[in-house]
Amino acid sequence: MNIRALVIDDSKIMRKMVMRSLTQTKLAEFEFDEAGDGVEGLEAFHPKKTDMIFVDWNMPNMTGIDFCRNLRTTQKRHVPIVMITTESTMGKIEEALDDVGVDSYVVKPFTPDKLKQKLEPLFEKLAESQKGGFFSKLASA
Amino acid sequence: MANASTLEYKDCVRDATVESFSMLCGMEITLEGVGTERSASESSIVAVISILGDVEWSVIVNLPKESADAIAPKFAGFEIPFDSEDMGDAVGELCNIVAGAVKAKLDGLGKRAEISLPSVMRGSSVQVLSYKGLPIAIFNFASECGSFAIEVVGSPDVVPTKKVV
Repeated sequence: MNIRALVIDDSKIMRKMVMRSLTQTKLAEFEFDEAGDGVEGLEAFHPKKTDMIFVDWNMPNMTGIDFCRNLRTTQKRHVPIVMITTESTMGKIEEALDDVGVDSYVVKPFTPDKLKQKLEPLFEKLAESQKGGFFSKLASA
Repeated sequence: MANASTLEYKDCVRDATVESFSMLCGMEITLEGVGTERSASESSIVAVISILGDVEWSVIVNLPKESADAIAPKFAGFEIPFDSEDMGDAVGELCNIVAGAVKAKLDGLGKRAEISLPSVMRGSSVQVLSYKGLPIAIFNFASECGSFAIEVVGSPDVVPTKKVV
């Protein structure tokens, strides 16, 4: 499976770490776009080409949560969003998953194995959607 | 709501730091002691994050140059010159992760708080000057990559409670 992923984090080092870790999971063949905050993320997002988004929470200019809210209200196509952040309290996780429509949540720091474990269910759904399954049904709802 | 003990606060900082470095850098670090005196370093890099809410702390990661040079590549996956912007990015993110872990452990003690974005400073003979009257605790760690300190300045519950004069 080929995935074009948008990685949004104000730390270049962390973006590189996320990209490296994703590549190591071998869940897909990845092509990456990068952005340094939510504003840049909205500019870098491609409505037809971005397959998945990995976004931090605390960033200057526009937080990850605000980026997600913005994307979910402006884009009809459901692009899977994974939040990768130091925020780990139940309240924050619920806000991301339930209120804003984030699909999966990974707490920093993480190892590639932990990342793979967390993302496998999402990639299974994505593979299914590319055959006309879960996410394509959401997009057409 | 029962107040967390000073020992529990100390454990928060120690455990958050040990776990963060282990996961992020694959490094085992040990707490050598908690004091109030800062050791001087010819060149160092310092990152600061505020934790505000039920506690009011500044969490400071203080890395001497030699330790930063050894630790940053373990985190980043590539060599980073000490004087580069990437070094500031790496240490800032390290501080972000340690502070995030501290915040999560404080949450477990029933203490709610938010964390700021990090600020990073680098230089020779960098001296962190704390606001007078605030308690300070300096957690001195040792590792295969050298020694460093995590400083907590703020709420009276942090141990030890020698005030900055």
